Amino acid sequence: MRANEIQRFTYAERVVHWVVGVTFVFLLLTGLAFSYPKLFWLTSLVGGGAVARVLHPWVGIVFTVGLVFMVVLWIREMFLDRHDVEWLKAIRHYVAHQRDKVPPAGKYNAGQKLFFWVQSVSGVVFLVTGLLLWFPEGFLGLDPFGRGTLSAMRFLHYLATLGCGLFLIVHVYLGTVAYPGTARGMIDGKVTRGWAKLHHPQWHREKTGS
Amino acid sequence: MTNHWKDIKNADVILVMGANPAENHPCGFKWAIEARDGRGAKLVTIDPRFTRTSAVADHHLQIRPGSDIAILGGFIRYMLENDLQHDDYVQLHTNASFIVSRGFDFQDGLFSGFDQATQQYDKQSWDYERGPDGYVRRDLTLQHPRCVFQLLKRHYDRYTPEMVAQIAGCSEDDFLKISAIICSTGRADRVGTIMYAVGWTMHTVGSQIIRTAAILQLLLGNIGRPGGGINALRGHANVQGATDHAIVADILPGYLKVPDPSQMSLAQHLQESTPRALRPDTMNYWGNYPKFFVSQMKSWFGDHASPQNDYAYHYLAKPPDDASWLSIWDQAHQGRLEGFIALGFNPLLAGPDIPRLLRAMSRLKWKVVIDPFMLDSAEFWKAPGMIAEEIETEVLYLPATHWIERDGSFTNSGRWAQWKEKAIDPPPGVRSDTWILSQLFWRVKALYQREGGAYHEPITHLTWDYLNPREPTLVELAKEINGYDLTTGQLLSSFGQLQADGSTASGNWLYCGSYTEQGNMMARRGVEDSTGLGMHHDWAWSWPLNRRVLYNRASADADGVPWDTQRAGIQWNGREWIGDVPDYGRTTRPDAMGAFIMTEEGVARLFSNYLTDGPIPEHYEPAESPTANLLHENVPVNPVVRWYDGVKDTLAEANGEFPHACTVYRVVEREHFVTSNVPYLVELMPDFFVELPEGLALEKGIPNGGRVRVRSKRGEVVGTAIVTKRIKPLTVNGKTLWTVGIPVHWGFVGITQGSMANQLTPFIGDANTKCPEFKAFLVNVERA
Amino acid sequence: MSNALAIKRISATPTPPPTIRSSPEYAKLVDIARCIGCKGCEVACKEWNELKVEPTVNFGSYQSHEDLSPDTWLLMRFRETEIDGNLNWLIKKDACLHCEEPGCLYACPAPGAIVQYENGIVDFNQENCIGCQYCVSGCPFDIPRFDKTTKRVYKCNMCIDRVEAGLEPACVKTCPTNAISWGTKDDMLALATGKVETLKERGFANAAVYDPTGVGGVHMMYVVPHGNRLAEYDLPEDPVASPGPIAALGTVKKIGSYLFGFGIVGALLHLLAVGPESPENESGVPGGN
Repeated sequence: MRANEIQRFTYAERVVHWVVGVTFVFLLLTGLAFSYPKLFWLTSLVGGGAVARVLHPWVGIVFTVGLVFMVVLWIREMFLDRHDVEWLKAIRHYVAHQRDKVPPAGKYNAGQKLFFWVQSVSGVVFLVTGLLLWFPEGFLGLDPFGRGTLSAMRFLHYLATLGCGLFLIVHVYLGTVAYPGTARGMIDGKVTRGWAKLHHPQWHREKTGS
Repeated sequence: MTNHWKDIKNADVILVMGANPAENHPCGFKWAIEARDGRGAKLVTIDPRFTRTSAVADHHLQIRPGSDIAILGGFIRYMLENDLQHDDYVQLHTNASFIVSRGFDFQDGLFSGFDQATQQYDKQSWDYERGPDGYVRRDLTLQHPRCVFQLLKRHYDRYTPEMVAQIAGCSEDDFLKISAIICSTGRADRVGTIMYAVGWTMHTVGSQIIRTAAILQLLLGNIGRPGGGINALRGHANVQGATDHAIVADILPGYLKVPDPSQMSLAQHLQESTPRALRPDTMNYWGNYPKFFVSQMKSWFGDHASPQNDYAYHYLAKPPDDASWLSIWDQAHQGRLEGFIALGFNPLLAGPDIPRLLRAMSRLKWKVVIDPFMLDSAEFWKAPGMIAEEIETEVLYLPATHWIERDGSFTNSGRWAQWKEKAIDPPPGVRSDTWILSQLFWRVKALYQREGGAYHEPITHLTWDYLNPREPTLVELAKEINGYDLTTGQLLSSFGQLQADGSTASGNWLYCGSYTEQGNMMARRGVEDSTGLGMHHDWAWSWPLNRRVLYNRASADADGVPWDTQRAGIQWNGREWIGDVPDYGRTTRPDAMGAFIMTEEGVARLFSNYLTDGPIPEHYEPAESPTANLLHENVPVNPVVRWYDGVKDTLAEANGEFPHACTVYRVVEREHFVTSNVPYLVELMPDFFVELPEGLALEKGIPNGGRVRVRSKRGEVVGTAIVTKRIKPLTVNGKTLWTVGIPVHWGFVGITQGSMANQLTPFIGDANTKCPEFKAFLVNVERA
Repeated sequence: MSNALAIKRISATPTPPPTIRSSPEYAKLVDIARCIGCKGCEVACKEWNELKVEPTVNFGSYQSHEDLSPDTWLLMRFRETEIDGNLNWLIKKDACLHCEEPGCLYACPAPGAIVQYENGIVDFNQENCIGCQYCVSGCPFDIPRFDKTTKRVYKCNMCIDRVEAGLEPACVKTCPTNAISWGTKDDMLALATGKVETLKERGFANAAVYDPTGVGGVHMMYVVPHGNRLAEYDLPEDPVASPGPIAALGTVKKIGSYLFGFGIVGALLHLLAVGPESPENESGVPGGN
């Protein structure tokens, strides 16, 4: 490791991130294909609608497993504290790149923590509603609300997708073009000291003592 | 049927009793629904169960199996009590006015003339009183105490609503409600019909149940009229045809009589078989019996039937005993029957008391089964409980064509002989019935010719005059049945042309006119309906002489004016009868003779000495009954039924180990046993089941869909319980009675297997026909 | 998908149907009061459509199968019930009603998997079906059935091949008591009205035609003798093409599509407004400096 670099993510964290990330994108695209007729062509990327229908839940299982590991790995670092509330209050300055008006973030800022929680909670929603939608015939008989249940599952499944999907746009944007140097943290696990000082000053201080 | 299927649509009241046409005759049943919806007819079912027919009926009355005569007799009483009969019709067209001989009596369940020793009646006293001219005396006022009308009135006076309700187990109110509907057609402007089937015939009093119905219909003036009649629904497409061609053993084709051993000459047979007119103004068409009989002999034996040899009369067997189903198998049971050929049916499942039947079959030396399917009967040694090693019977199975693989005719319940075409080819190696029977004939004949024999002429002199004598076509047979003028070689067009001098041949006089020089009348497909009543005279051909409603002269009054001009059967226009083919001379004046040309009375018989068990029907309990006979305790069961060897020991007593009434039936999804091989139909009704009333199931702890065992004194069955609201508890003779229902379609061969209903049924039959009493017996049930 | 018939709607295909032909609207009419439950229609359905035999077991009923299945598109349902003190054996033909507003089609995400024709037939095209079974939850009558082997959904297609050839469906053809009629929807409605009148004359005061408006009407209508006891016939009182959650989902999906769009466009605009943010003294490029 070079002198101006800091280890940000372990190998395990990176693997888990990309498992969750890649599966989520797959799920998002196939899911959007099922939701929007105009996007149904997306299923041809994976071999057609029927294949997409078969793969989607299986990939969902991989996604869920990945998410479980992610939660195990990161949950301790993801609880929001008073500092994060301050950060959130100043979010408009963050958006405007007014660093001096933003409370210094730790390893994860409040936005990242929120993304984590949205993903985790949605993961549960995806799993529960997804299982029902996977085997609807097994649940029609148990249906206490008539045929509304499965439709409600579709509704919830979509809501979770919407939440995660919107965060993903922000996440990808910030992690790539908006903040150069970020993506590297998820490739070889390292970031530069300057990057750390800029985006996560508090964490930079803890890591470097300066 | 006196009428025909489509004619049901002309009825105002339809009584379905002893039948379940929605189940067993769904296509014909459409006409009952047509009457219900089209003209507001009332559809009434009377049955031990609420059936699929009841599901679309207006009214249903649940009765105990075997209480039919009580119910029908109750209707007759209700009608006479309330003066609801069709007076003009009764006076004109029935023997109500005939005076019965002084010796006739009915006391405590027995008619006069009963011989305790032989358990038979001497019918001498069941005769009419003759006047000095030799003809029957009448009292047209119907007041004479010994006239048939008064006798009937007296006889059925005991059938009060209270009595009927006690016997049948229904409520008096329900009975009276139904009585009012049934008896509402005793008017010129209303007609009622009766649809019945084996739910009536399969009793020890089967023939008498039908007689009771005939009396009811005659009193209401419903016989001979469109929308009326008494209509037997036959259980397969061609049962009527088979019956006409003598499937039962006590007749020859066309209902001619099997010679009796005492009839030593043709002259004697003809003399004793030909009725004589009882009134001067009587056609007495059976007076032509000699013409029918001699023509039949000519058809069978050709030139070998001549005046010199009594037209081959002596070639006919003159069996000393009846050869009914029960009697045949009774002989087999006693080891006195060598072999059995089953052609196109499944005798093992079709007869009562299967345990007994299996013993009987095991005592045969050989058995031949000729059928499209490998039936249970062809593998009877595989029946549950049989030990194959101990059975010596040699069984031959000959695969035969199915009717769908042959052309030929079906005669439906309405007597319409309809020609059909072959639809598909038979599988390789499968032969037609005519091929198989021809082989049998030629081989037996060859044996006689080679080896000689004591009395070979009936075989060696048999006419077998076909283009291909090894496989006659069905067209050839149809022509032969129709008959020829032997002088001209022309096909006959009417049985009116038949002669007793050997100049005509006809295999079955009833079918004379079915295949004429004009062609195959049975193949006609004209859909015109000139009467507007659905008679369709150009569609196929109906015996006799294309007549669509039997006794149709009775549809009009003394002047030939129809009782109901909207539903005219035939009517006299001053010169001739128009409408249906008249059951009367076409130009015979209305007042020339009685309407019922087939009877020696010239009118219909309310009182008849033709049956062995009484001139007026009486309620007797089934051989196995849950109750005493409330009408006459000392004569509970039909006194002249034949008790076969050891059968008394196989019947349960009332109030004993077997307390519940039971009846058997078919379901629409299956057709007897044939459809065990049809996957789509087995899928519809896969398993043997038992229909149990809810209350009984609860009492026995048997859940719906659970397993239930039903035992009679003869055997047991196990199946899936269908617990139903459709069978209610009855109150018979003051006690609660449960009824259990069992379908017949299962055996140990087929796509699915199940218990055989006839494990349970008793080996006893009707006093006249010997038709087994399948429909009423006793069982017990338990959780299996 | 039939090319010979005028198409009305295609699943997951918002563009107008590729036809300008028109066709009369047909309907089946099932007169429950005439039905004797012979199941002839069940067999006719299987035979015409060459559906497989399912080994069945008697479960304590005259009913052949407990439920519809991918191989059983038509099922006669039997129920014994007391109505006004009278025993009734209700027998109902259960099969697709071919709704005017087909909930299945609306729920289907696969383009062309479900097609509604101008003649009223709603047909499933298994080659386009993705097996998601949304149609199953979309159907207010619980009709479509999923086949686990082929992973496709099946149901009555009103014998579309027969109808296309000008014939009536097989069940209509086979019915021995004329309990099932076939003709234009208008003719069948008129026939149904007459049948209801006949029933009322026979004492069925609540007789009614079942042609529910919640799904825009159906193309298999019933004449129901006890029109006030629809539940006894397993007929929903007030079926709707799209239940609440599906309607809500539609709205949310529309909002969602805008949000996703705003998200992507917003990010771009943000980038153009404030540019990337890198540490001042670093290139931010790994390996640089």
